[in-house]
Amino acid sequence: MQIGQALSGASLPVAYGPVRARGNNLINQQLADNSRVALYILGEGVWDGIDRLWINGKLANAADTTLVHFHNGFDGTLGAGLAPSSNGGDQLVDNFWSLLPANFQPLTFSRKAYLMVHAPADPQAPSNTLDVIGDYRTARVRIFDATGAQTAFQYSLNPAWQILDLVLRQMLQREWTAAGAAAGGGDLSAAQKARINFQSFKTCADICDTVLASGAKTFEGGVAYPSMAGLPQALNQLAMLSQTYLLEQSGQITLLPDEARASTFVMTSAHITAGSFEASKSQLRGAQNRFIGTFNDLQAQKNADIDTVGNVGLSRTANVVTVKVPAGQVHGFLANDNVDIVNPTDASFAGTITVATVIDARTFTGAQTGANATSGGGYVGTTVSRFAQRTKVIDHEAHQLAVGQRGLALTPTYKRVPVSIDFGNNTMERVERILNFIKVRNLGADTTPYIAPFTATIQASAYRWTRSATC
Amino acid sequence: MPRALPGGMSADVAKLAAFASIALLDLQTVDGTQYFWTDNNYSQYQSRLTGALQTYSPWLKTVGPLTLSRDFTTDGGDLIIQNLSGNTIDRDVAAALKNHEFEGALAILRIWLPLFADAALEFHGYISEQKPNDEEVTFRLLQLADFSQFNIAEDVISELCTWRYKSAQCGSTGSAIVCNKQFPTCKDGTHNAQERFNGVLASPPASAVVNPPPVVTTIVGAGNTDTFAPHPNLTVNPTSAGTPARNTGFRGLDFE
Repeated sequence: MQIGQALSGASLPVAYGPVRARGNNLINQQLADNSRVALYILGEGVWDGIDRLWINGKLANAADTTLVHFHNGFDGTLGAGLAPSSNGGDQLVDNFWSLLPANFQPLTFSRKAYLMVHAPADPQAPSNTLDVIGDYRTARVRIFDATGAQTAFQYSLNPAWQILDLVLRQMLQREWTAAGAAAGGGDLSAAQKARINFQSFKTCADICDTVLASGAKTFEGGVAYPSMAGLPQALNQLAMLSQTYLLEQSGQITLLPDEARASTFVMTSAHITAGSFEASKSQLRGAQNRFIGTFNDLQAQKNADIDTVGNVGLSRTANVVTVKVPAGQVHGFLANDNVDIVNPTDASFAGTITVATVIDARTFTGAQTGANATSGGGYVGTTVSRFAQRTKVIDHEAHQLAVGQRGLALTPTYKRVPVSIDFGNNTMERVERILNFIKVRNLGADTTPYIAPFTATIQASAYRWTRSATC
Repeated sequence: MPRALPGGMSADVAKLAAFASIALLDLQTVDGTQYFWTDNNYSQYQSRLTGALQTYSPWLKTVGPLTLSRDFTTDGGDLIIQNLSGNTIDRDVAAALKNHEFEGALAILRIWLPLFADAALEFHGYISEQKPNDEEVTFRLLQLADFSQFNIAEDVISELCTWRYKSAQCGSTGSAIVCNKQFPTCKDGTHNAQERFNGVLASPPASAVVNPPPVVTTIVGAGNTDTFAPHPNLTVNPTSAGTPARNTGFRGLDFE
């Protein structure tokens, strides 16, 4: 998700996982040498860091402290004063303030992740406005073991830990310090921990982290909220992205995976109130049967395929990888381009390389640390093409046909009732997988003949409590 | 294998059918006042609030039904409390409502199985929507993790600090009792938390702005004036020229 610019009164964005953001430009001062000092508020801390930064459309060296200072959004250091003293990595006052006129009041922007740049004059800039865009690793979150012992406070793409962080940040631990959260053992009291079923969160986190045959984790990604939203909407989105659901059981907030599991109780006729069993399909008429998943693609868009394993599309020798695209295709890259290798058969080749040499239109090389190996498959694309807005549409054709009667002597047609779902920052494979899960879970198997699922209501004498169940 | 009943339980069991359940409600108002109510007779049970044996008063008339769901709708149900006990001037529950604020009170409801000295269901919630009448009072019991009452990205970028004074984020240990959230206040010796100030201050006067970019769609915060007064060196997008400045103190340059 791209975080657009906003001014006073705008929400301070909250983000999880990887995002591409411009930020809220609060200072843009041109100096006598035509260089500029600019400050961008990014979001609520603590953010982890920068993956890539582009200034005026050119990839910048984010580690160059004469150019860029990233501040994670820690709490300001009490007693440290407001004299410029920092090149980033903390929440002291940035050294670039000393380049600004004296009547600018230096600040720490406590608990705000922000970027300060000192961009030299750039005659080759595509426009006369300063444009700074970054790929950022956003919120650091608390991570626990099954017993509730905090094991880390770190950046995570795991939706289970992101859900827990939302619950802690918004409900249980609203007043906290970054230092406390990062301290050994964390900052939650025993009473606060008693409100969380850590075993359940750990189980879900492990499921999310399970690596599939494709090499991708089962569920991971990122979401960003550049403006205020209801917590249920945010939790609902993250739960959807991880196929989990959140309950409060006996005072404990519990995250459960939405998956097949063993029965814990067999309800028989002895439990069911006579005549209370009802099974209907009443909700099917207006049911959504076209699922439109929108997301920003975490993977680069394809420039060219990588040749097959048999044709040695990928070869790594002495920490230099050679990439070859199939006959009939050209890669189109130039030296120093940043290129992503996506979904190779051997996952150790996946990642970003900088093009060192362009051997020919089909072959190029780049540095990549790893054991000597050969592989192939997947594709290559530019790193800058990540976060492209993409859409995946999944239809339940059997249901569309079932509700598509047109009239006498007319065959039913496919009647579509669409629903759009925001998957944040994700991948096509994962979005497709989750959409298929939602499709089948809501409407049953997309097969012919179509048998729609029942919705059943049962009243049972469980000590005067009424529960409803859907099956 | 025979199981010894907890003290005081035998009498209850004798009154009840084998698997009959009772409701136990532990309630604590924001001012710390605690109440222990049941739909059974006066009896002592181990409290979830205190961990000790407490006498539960038979004030609960009916409990629930509770509606529980797996989506993000708030779980909850109604509690009906008797409002008959007390004296002719002040009934017990009416007096409690008069003297203590029950809105938001922490409530732990247990469906208790006396035979097993264990809860079949435990529901942690808070009280809302108290509706008293002559003979009974209805409370709405809502799920404690009531997500619908919270927002995300709720903090705003402002020229004032948004921390609660002396909160963990504020960090002030100053002698001042209150804070007006402005930077000069934060900076003074009685607050002394300038490094934790999270507001964004007004930009410097327009005279300090030198050669800003020529294409600008939004310019605000020219000093302390409410009048839009761009610096002569500024080239302003015609669509925003002459519009009143927002007194935000921001010098916002919108590049979109």
